[in-house]
Amino acid sequence: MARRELLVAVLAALLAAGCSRTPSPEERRGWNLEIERLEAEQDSLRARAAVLIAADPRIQRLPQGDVVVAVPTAFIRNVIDRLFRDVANRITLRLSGIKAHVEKKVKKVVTIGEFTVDVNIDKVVGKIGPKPPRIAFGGDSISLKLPIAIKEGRGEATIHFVWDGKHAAGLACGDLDITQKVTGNVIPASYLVTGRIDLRIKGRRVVAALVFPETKLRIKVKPSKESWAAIDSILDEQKHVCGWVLDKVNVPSLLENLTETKGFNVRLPIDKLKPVILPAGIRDSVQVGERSFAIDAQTKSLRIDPDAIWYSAAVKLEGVGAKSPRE
Amino acid sequence: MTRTWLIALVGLAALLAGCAPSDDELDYLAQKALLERQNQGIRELIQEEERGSLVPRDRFLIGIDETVVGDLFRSQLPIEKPVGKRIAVHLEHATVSLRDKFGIIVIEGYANRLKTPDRKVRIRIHGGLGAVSVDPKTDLLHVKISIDRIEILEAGLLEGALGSGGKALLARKGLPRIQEAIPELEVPVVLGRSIHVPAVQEEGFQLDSLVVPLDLSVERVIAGGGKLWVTLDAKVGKVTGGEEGIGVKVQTKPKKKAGAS
Repeated sequence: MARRELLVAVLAALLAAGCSRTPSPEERRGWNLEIERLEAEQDSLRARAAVLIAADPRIQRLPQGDVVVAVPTAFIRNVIDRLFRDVANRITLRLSGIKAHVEKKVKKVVTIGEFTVDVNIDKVVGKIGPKPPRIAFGGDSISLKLPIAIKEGRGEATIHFVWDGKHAAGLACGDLDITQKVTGNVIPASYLVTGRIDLRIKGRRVVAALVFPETKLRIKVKPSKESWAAIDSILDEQKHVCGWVLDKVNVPSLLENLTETKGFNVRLPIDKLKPVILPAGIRDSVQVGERSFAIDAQTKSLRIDPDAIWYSAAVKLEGVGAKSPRE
Repeated sequence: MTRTWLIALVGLAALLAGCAPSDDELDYLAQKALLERQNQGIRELIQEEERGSLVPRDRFLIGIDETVVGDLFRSQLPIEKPVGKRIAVHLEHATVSLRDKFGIIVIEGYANRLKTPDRKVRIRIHGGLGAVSVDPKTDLLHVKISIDRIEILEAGLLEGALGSGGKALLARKGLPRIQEAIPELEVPVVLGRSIHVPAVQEEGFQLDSLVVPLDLSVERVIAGGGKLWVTLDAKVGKVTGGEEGIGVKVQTKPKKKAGAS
């Protein structure tokens, strides 16, 4: 305020003071009546508000605590939806090191031999196609049903067939050891992955952790025509001496059963996903001017309702009272 | 006409009108204004409750107890702030009551000229909740205190001369400057502007980190039941990270003996 302005304001104030009115008894009565009317109105409004609040189960269920935080389940649903929509369809699934193994004794009165078939998946690359996830809140848990589909994929595998002939069969056609590289396409399939999200307190924040039981996808692969042709060609070479053995074992049917019917169990490592911190929580310190205060927060409740996740804590500002002069 | 003369003329006009209210009238007007404000607040709370929007279902809701808000505010006291070039305001005590929608905040202290620190004008500041925002740097909730009125309790040497009308005029004149001196409150509730999905880099499973951006906006601030209630809307943005495609690599370690694995 400039000096001249201040002086003038004080002057004006002094002048105004000089003409102060003295209220009449009627005026005073009127004022008292008006205050009484407003107080009565307030009593009535408070009574009305108390009735409404007592009848509202959501207000009655508000958790106790110095700080209360509600994260709407609609928001959580939106985030999971968005993650699924924006991310899952960009996921490329790369599988390798997966094996299928079959071994069997072949008998004709006595054991005539043993065979083993190993299919080693060297590489399978597939694209995942997500569908809208199903999420349910309540009962203090968030349950998830995630429908996913493997839309397309291509892979390479090594087939290893070993025949160990015994007795007469061993003499007739000896042992066989066939290794063949094959390619194939992943057979599109849909899966439903089921689990839940657990909420935990970590420090002063709420974290969401995925809890899924061991989840396995059975992936089936159809060998390409070229691969079948290569396998047939190798088997044909052996047929002139060991045809009856190969007929007995029926290698193509065995392979078909392994790759297209039985498939390969692939464990989906969902449990490796790390917990995610929810965006609302209590900070461990707060800056007040140039001073920093530690916040002592004790969790009082963490609850999952159908419409919100509620978190509350008793909060105390540590060190209040130890003031120092400051601007 | 200069501003100075204009103020002088207004003062003169006030004198001629004989309109300065008495202390009793000022008390009545202050009490009436407070009751009207409280009643209006309760009325609006009732309307919200009747609409079912007092505790919204689809919004973030943060409730902070008046003891926490009060402690935070009081932790800054005493505050000494210059108001203009010649006046300093000292804020010493505060009470915070968060009821009836708007809340009541009362701060007491004094003002003095910088040249004459011993000549104190005792003041009482009446206010309520102002704007609430989320600080983009710290993600913390910030609350402004909005001043409604300043009451001059004792005008020191001028006490006798000013009278009630003069004190009211001085208080009105100083209000905008003192508003500047009232600090914002930083509340220890953090509202992140994004959700981070941590990267996974383990043998057999790699996933890039992802960020889900959030657009947070404060929708409503009310005082009720002894708490400051802030309602926020959060819009979920497009997920970033892994734009080039996300690789989930599943690699099974070789086993010596196994069935179909």
